[in-house]
Amino acid sequence: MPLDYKRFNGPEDSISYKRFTEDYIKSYDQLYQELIDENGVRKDGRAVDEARKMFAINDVVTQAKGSAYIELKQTKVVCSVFDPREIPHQNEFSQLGQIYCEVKFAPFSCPRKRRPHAPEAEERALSVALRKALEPTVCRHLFPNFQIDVFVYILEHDGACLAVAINAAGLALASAAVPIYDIITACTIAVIDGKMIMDPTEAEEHLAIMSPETQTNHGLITMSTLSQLRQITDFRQIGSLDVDCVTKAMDLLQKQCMKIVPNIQRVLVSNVIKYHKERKKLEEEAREREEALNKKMEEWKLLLNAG
Amino acid sequence: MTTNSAEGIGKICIPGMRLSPYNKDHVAGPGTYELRGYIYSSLAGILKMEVDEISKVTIVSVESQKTPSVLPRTGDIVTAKVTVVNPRMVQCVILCVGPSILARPYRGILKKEDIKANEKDSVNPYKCFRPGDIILARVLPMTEIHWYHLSTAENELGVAIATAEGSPQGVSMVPISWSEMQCPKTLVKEPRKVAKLIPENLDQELLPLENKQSNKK
Amino acid sequence: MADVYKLIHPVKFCNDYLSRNIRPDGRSFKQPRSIKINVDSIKTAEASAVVKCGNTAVVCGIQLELSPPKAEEPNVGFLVTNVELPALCSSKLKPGPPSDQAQVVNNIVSDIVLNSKCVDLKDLCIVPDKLAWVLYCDIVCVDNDGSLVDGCIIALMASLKTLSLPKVSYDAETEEIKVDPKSRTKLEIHSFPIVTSFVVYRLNQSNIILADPTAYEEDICGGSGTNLIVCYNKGLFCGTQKFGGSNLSKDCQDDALKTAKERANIVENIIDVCIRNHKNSSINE
Repeated sequence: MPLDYKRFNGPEDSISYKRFTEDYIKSYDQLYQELIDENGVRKDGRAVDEARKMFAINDVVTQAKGSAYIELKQTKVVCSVFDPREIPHQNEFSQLGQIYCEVKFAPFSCPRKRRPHAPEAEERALSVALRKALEPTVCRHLFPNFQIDVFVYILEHDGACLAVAINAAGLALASAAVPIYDIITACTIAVIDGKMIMDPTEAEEHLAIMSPETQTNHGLITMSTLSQLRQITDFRQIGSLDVDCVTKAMDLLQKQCMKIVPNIQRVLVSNVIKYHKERKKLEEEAREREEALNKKMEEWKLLLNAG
Repeated sequence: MTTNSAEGIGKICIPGMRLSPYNKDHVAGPGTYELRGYIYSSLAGILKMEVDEISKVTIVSVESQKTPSVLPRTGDIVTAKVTVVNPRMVQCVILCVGPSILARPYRGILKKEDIKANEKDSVNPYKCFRPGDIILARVLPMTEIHWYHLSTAENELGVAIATAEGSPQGVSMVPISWSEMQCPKTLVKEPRKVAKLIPENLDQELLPLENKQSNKK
Repeated sequence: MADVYKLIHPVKFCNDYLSRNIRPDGRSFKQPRSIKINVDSIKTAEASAVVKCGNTAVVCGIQLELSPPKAEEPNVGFLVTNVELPALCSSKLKPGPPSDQAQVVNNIVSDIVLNSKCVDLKDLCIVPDKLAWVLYCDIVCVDNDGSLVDGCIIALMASLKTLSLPKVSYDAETEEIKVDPKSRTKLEIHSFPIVTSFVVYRLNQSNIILADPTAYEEDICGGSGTNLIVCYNKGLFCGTQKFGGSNLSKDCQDDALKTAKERANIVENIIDVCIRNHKNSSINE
């Protein structure tokens, strides 16, 4: 890799200390037993089909037009959206606006290795996936020849980061007042040894794409939907799964996506109420000020007339 | 239209919410879209149903608290700052559309023949604008990819705020005729294409929002 | 309303406020914004801190790696700091390689940390000439609303203060390395640099200084970023840098130094209290 002259670099041959700890390398079976016990309870106490609780707020980045922060326990994602801007190096007239997406991992976000600063293949792939998911969501005909920037920064990665990124981007777009057709929600499912694991953690994801010796279903599926319009905007699957398994997973995913919608709606509604209150307060203050000024005017007028 | 709240805010809408059927009596206004016979919301905000006085149709629209992320449209009045003046045209950046602020400035271009309504050929851009002036202009149909064409060929359009050469920043000149402005400190006179604004109500003229509110009162 | 005025008449907008001895966000000239610190919230990093100074939000995470030391300095470890300004933190930034401003901030932060000797690099050496710690301190700005360097240093110092190093055993003969992440020793912090940023604003032929400026105040005062950075280290004045903007009078400078000194003390206390609270709450759990 070429040296990055715009940042400070550490020594070239440094290795994470975790490489030298005792339990660094584990077999598939060991990991499996660690993550899911015989009763089907996961390491963090969840049932197999149980998703993590979502925490979502918007307008966290004051410098952006709209932004959102979503937390699924340890997965933490910030997203900000900016107003349309000119598309650089564009020569042709295009009727539809474009969406520029960038997903970045913080250097310290991953448990396994340090992320390089320069964009890497996985980030690019996530960016494209995010763009593909958002394109059918945004009313792109309203800003021909311009692009909307959607930046996602993953502060901590503990599984399902694409799904969280899509949820955050949807909330950020809505709070930036970018016209969108519907609220977009997404979630991830991991298939390990034929078991459907809803909303996997990073360790579970890792296990799902590790190929075991047996020929059972294993893989990862991320799906995003527009719930009111009943549309699927993006569907992404890796691993080896048979058709029955995929259709079953889609059913589960769709239900889970519907469950996320109220979370996002609640944030947006409370936001509308908050803004309304603020505006009312400002108007009230302005009226008071105006009244005070008018009073003063009258006083002066009286003085003038008298004197 | 399920989400309702007390405190008299009105109906709160969020994107994807079905607002009304789409038919002869209901049309989709700003912040909404039409799909398969229904009008849906595309913004988070407050529902507005207005009846057009002439055609008697209800315009369904959603009002967002933030400026919706859409671009200046043909016919809009914009506030722009002049950046470059040359013999053929004036370049500027658009800062506001109507009462709303743009987070990102867009580039605008004002051709020599669009500066004034009369004497189009004898207009000298240098005697109308200077870099740094704040102008009011109307958006013309878009013909180039990234440039908005503007026009100031109306009495109410032109320079609204300007600082004379050599005066300290923040001291604006006062219009003394339709083609001249004077600095209150240095008394320097400079030629401009002045917008017809009543000085005391300068802010109000600039900002239709304020006007609407005062009209309501 | 006020926003429109601010946009089309920036100088007058500012003058109107400052001539009445108040700043556009309601603070007095030398009043810094409130600080919020949350340590150890990111579990993938060895130590971390999330810092908010007003709207400016900075996240710092430290990761540990092992590497042989440099041949010319066999008993010294590595401390690598990087400040990342991703495009999401400000509307002025574009995606791509670090902007000039990001590189400048990066350099300032690294200079301050290395020069203050808050971490003795010799502490990071495990076996001379064979093995040393590499501390990767990555500081990410999530929301850039001015006074970035202040936030970066606070986040970095708070993370360093909570950092502990796992025990390493090195077999000289087989060159085998073993790390026990369960037994840890705290990293010793020898000094405590705290930075306060200022901008110099020209108001009616005289200059005034504004402490802990917002992004808007930085823009108004010309130049990218803040105009003046003053660094104090446990009550000792240890550095100042001036970047562009209006010139600085003697009085203003004295004022700035005094303000920075007071603030450095307060900030150090805030960091201590936050770390203590965190420890107490984690014990209670």
